[in-house]
Amino acid sequence: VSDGMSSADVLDRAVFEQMRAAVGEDDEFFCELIETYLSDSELQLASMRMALAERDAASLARAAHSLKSNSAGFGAIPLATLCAELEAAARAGTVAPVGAEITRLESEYRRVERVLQHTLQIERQKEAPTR
Amino acid sequence: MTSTARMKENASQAGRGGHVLIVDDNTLNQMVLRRALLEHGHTVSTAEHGKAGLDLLRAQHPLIDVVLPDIMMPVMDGFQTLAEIMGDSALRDLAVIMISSVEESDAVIGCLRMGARDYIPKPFNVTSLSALGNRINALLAAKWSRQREAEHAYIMEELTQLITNMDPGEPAPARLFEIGARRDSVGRLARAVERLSHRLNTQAPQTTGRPA
Repeated sequence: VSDGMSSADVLDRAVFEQMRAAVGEDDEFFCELIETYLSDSELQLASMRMALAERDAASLARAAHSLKSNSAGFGAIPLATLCAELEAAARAGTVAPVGAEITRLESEYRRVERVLQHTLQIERQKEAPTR
Repeated sequence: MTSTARMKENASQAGRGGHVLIVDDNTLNQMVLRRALLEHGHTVSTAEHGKAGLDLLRAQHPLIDVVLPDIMMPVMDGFQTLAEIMGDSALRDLAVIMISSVEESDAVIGCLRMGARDYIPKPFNVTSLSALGNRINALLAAKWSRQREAEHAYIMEELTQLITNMDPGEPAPARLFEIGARRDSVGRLARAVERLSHRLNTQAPQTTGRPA
């Protein structure tokens, strides 16, 4: 539980723990993964906004696909679902009506970001005394 | 990359494990797969999309043993990449394992029909990564066994030629001794021919020296 809301609404803990288990006992590597997810997601959100401005449905679909795949891996299911909807719309060639969807998707991403930043903080506190 | 992973990468480059090429534009997938494969003692290369992957394959084959293309990628997707590999006589024997998300199951079946050996579903988990490791090890073992058989057959053919062309009274050719240094059945056969030739030559009145 973080930021006064249930992180379970944002991240499916079971999937999140599965991802964690998949990388073994290496907490440092897991933090590296989270950091990569966060920086990649910012890039994908930026490409989505650019694709929307340029009415480039293919780029929009690609960015939505990447963000969907990464988010699903971390258990960010509601975000992944929004990405899947956006990807489907973009593949159907729709660009103009998805502006509102991108805004929704972005605010969902910010929730995921808060939970993951919180996780990173906890991990770093755990690591600190041993280093 | 962590220091443990880096150490393992160096260890694998020293000769253990195989060389796996991950073809995926997704950084996280690359990171997780790369780490799991390094843990298994393999050398890992990565490419961002099928086109870059094919360029690397064509430059480095046969150094690469297994290719892991994601199905959905920019520039050239996994399906096209597989088609290119299967259509290239120099690459056709490469083991290809597709990376796919759940909703791509139809595409996966298509890839398996086209010649992909297997697939790994996303998101990855401990079970799927461990199954991938075992599958790659089995594919490598099969590849190395095929290579040994082919090499064995080649040397056997060479030995047959050598024996056929040997003249009684002539010293045995140097190549026979090289083959005789092998520890397998071809080596044993070569050594037997060596002994026979030596006996024939020492018994023959016109020869004076022993073979080197």
